[in-house]
Amino acid sequence: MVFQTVHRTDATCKKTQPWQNRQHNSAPDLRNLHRCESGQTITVWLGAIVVMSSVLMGSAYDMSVAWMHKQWADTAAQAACTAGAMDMLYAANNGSTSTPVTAYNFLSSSSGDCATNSSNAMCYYAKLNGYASLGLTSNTPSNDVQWSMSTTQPANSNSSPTLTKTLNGVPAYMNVAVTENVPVTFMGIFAHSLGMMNSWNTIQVAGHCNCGLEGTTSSVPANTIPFVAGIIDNWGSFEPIAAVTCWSNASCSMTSSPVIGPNNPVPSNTVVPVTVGGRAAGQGGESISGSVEGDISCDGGKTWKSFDTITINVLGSSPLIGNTSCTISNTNQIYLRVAANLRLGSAGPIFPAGNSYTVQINSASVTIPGGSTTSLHITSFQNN
Amino acid sequence: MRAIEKIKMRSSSRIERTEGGAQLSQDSFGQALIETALFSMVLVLMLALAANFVYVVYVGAGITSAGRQSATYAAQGQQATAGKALPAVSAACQIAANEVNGWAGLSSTNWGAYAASSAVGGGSWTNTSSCAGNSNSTAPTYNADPEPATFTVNAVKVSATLSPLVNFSILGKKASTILPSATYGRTVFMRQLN
Repeated sequence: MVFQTVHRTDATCKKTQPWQNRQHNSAPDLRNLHRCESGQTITVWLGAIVVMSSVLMGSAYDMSVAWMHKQWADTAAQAACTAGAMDMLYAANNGSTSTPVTAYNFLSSSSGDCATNSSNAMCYYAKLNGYASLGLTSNTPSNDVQWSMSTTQPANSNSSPTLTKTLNGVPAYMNVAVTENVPVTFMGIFAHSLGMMNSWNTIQVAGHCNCGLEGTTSSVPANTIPFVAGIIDNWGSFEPIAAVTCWSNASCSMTSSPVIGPNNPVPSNTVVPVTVGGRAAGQGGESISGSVEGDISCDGGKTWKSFDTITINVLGSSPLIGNTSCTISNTNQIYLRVAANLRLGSAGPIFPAGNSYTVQINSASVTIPGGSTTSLHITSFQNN
Repeated sequence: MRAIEKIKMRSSSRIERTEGGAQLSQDSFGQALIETALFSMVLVLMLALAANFVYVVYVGAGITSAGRQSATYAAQGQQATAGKALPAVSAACQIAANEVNGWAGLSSTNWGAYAASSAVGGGSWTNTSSCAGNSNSTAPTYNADPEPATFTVNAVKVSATLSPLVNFSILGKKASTILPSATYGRTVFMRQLN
């Protein structure tokens, strides 16, 4: 080892320098030589190990801390992006171009920085998750949150179909980037010892998240097709129609106003299961006979097919429960209606108060009480 | 005569050199042994410290991941998932628990997970669930959504009190008594559209 060639020059060792012995004796005293050098190796090695291990462990510590901050930044970015996507979903589901609270509306912007404009859900949730976004300051612990909206599906997304915009014109995708200058401890010391006084006080890490609205089932964050409201109005209109048109042993046919399903873009040949449940009934002592059938239209009300028919010939109620499906694509809407061919003993609603009518599209269902005017908002349904 | 003395001196010199070399060799072996022993102790100590530090980083990263996964899961419901029911907070809490359960050095007494969700228009957590009954299972701080009439907040808090995984002894004292224990916790907030 090269370290062993270094000779000690301290006073103790001078007394026994081998070359001094050699002046009096022809043979050098190797034992004294060894004694003089004993401990040199361990001293040098210990010094080297301390320095090297300090550098390595200090760097490892700083990089580990930076990596932890990277995980936190990723989490904050995901939370912020999800929050923004929820606003986009809300707007899409409600045919709006604004968030529920106007002061937090960001949907009309294409991008933003939370350091200069924090009045939106992304900045709020980034802050909740530890990133107040006061803006990046060079070489100083600080952080910043930026977001941007896009009509282009992220490259790493494999969902289908690709939405360019939601029906209300709001872009369907967004990106949130959380950038942080993380303070470093040991790496700063090393850099300073090398003369780099203005560097390595911080190391920059960033977390990113792409999110948005997609048309197929996926995991994160918002995996629904943004449907506009399906409205059913005046189911209670049955009552006045029945009362007026089908009074006292009259035979009549009547058709309800259709329940109009969502009309958002869906993949071609998307099969949507539909279940309708309800009860049709006479009321009190008033008799009713005839039939009630449920109809469905998969092409926006152009053509209809019956999925269930029940015979009503008694007082009380009879169930109307049917299962069917529609194969739809693009913007076709699903219409549901009830058609009745009745002979009424006397006036009375066929969906009287106290009974109910349920429309279910996949797992989303709404129950409409009879005998009243009801507005139905089908929020969403799943494509199979 | 002088020639004979010279020969004797040379012989004597050879003998001294040989004895000195043997002694040098023996001393070197002893020195190397001591150095190796000392180096080994230092290296083992450094490795133990490094292992404990990596353990803290590993658990910290896992806790961060657990909170994120759980909070993401908790927010997947209602309009965000085509009308499917919102996951129960107990299920969300269990997601976090499953992420952490079984890790070395963690037991039911030194880590906890807590999931909570608010209701539309509410002023506090409406549903809460604790997955590990200990002092670490405290509810996360309530924060309302900025648009509380429409959105709700889900939060998952995961925390653990960590002790040295490699509990080595130095000078008769355990590392757990020398090194401080550290409590590491993260709370993740996610938004949800009802």
